[in-house]
Amino acid sequence: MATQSNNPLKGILKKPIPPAADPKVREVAVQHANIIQQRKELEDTITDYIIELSKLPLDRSSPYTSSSPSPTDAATFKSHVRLFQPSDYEDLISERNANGLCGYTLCPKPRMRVAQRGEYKLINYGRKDFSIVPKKEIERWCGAACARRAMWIKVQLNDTSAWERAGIDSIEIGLYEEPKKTEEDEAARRLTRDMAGLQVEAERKAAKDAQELALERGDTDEGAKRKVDVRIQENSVKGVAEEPSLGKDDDGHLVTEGYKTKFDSQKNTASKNTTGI
Amino acid sequence: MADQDEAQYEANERNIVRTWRAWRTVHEMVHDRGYELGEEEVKIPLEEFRHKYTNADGSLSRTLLKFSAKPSDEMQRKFMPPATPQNTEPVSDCGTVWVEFLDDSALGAEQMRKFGRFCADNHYKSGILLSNVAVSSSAKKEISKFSQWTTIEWFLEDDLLINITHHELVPRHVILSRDEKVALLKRYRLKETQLPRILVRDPVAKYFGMKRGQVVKIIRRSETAGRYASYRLCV
Ligand SMILES: [Zn+2]
Repeated sequence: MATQSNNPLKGILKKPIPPAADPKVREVAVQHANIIQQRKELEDTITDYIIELSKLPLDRSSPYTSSSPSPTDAATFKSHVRLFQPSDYEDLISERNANGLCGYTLCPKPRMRVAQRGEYKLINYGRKDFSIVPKKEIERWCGAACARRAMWIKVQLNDTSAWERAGIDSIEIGLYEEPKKTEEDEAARRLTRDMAGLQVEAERKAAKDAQELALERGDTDEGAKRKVDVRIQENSVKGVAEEPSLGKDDDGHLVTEGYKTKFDSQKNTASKNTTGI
Repeated sequence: MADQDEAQYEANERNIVRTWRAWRTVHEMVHDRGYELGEEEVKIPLEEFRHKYTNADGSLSRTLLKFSAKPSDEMQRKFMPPATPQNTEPVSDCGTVWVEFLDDSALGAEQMRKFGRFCADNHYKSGILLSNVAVSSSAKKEISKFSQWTTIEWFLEDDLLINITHHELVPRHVILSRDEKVALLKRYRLKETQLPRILVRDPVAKYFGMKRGQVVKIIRRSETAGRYASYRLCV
């Protein structure tokens, strides 16, 4: 007992590493903490956007409809929805439904209510496009047109996290274009616009591909100044080129790189027999 | 016309009775968790409820349906974290609770955020929100954002029309304090993962506002042994 009081007990475990004395370690920790903080803030922003977008359109009495929304609302919608993942967009739809609105953000109408009980509903009965749809699905929209418009947006959304996309300006969400009465003039105009769009798209893609390729090859500005000096030297040719031949021997066609495989079938089987017995 | 009036009157009456039952159950729940509530507050008769919480035209005034309750000394002691060298004067895990009936036709992220802000700003350690509409998924995400300031719980009024713990087939549940849990594990030489489990969304666990890691003692009547206690870990 007396010895115990004299010698304090020693732990057999390793001494814990003293907390980051190295300023570099601290720097890294702070950097990571900042990243996490940024992500959290971005998540908050997305919820803010969901709340804001769940109230659109702001002016319900105006002549604007879901097919021709007011430009300000459309701009707000497009700029906010950019950051959404498909799941956030689903949340937005359910949020709007909870408020009794049609799920499509730019639609001023209330969502449809199916009076009948039952899980499913028959639509377009007796027609070619007849189908059985869950009641819940129908009640999310004011009509099939809005469902299509909303899904048009959804398929453009990306599954990568918002913080990976926040800085990329080139992500643009387009609204569903209403199929107008086919006037030739209109069609032609759209065609030229589409072509222009395609060209821009192609150029952008080419530029991006070139950039990625350069990165992969290490052809950055710094990479261009190579450390190793590469000099290519031609090998001087002596004599005349000669076409390949099979050689003088008859067995030339059996020779592989100058070596002819020897194969004695008789001997092989005999030896097999002796070992077999 | 008279029929319509009658139907409307009946619907309103039904609504008042339902809300009254939920109001009573939530009071019992808060009381059973260990908060201080007077007997007359818990067992409010229907007539008094009607008198207090309806407008002149007889309709229910949901804006009035809110109250707060302080934890009893016993409850505070029970949820006191142990004193450590870093934290010599620990503060109890439980604080004043705020209960509110949602006065809105929808429970989305906006309403949930408003409720969470209110609870956090007024230093309520926990908030209980009752609604008769389901909560949206983004509203559920809001709950966790307030977790460092306040614990938000959400109940559907329909689920509180009767007090499930009063049913004869529901045995008595007692939440163990931290010390009691440690003593239990020591006595039976258990790791906490070796205990049977109860889900955090179990109706009784929700009733008592259990958190992950807490242990509940379930006391059943037994034909042979008189009383029989079992323990479950909340996961
Ligand atoms: Zn619509």
